[in-house]
Amino acid sequence: MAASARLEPGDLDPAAELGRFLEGRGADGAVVSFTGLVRSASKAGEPVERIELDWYPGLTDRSLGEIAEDALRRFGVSDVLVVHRCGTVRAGAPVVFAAAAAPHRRDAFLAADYLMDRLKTDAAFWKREDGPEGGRWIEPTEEDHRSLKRWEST
Amino acid sequence: VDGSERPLTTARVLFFGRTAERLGRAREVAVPSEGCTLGELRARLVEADAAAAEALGAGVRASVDREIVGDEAVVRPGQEVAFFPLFSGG
Repeated sequence: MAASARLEPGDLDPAAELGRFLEGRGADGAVVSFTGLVRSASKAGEPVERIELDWYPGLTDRSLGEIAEDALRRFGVSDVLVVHRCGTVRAGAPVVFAAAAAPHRRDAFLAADYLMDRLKTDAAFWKREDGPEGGRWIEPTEEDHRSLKRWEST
Repeated sequence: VDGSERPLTTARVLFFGRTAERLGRAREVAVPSEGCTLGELRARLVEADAAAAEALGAGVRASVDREIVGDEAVVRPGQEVAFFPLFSGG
């Protein structure tokens, strides 16, 4: 059983990540993976050409590792993987890949869902959306906080 | 250095996110050899730079050697301090 997480400063290839994650899974009956893409518009509808994910080496990677470890502890999963971009990511490009493997599908679905809710609020990034009008620094939304609260009673 | 003054060395101070946009990525800030509190270091930055007053205002958190701490934490020469806004999440 392992939780792994890494920061990816270069391109993120979700298909290659999933391919490696699927290898050698005898005892697992399920793998659920999620790929997050950079949207080409902000919540307010303004065009987004790219995002800038500022990160602090040593602190940001640790936050990703803790989130992956929490998912592994919390659900009946065999392995958890988080790969998160940092730096400049253009609209339409993958920014995060999260996957969970488990003997049974329900645990894998739950773990992947939990990983993304945690990453959207607790990952130690500072995100700026850049468009033709300039840049806007982003904070977690109310919806992100509500999503995270779902896990408090489980 | 003639030895009559207390030796002053520095702590490396980093900024992230919006804070870095205002103050740059890194500064070296003098810290007394016996250390000072994070709050004192913050005050020193604000004193030296008008832009820092706003950039290090409410909601800006800090870490010492990558551990998130409060203003009462002690900073010693050679340590790494960082100031940053709330995490945006991924």
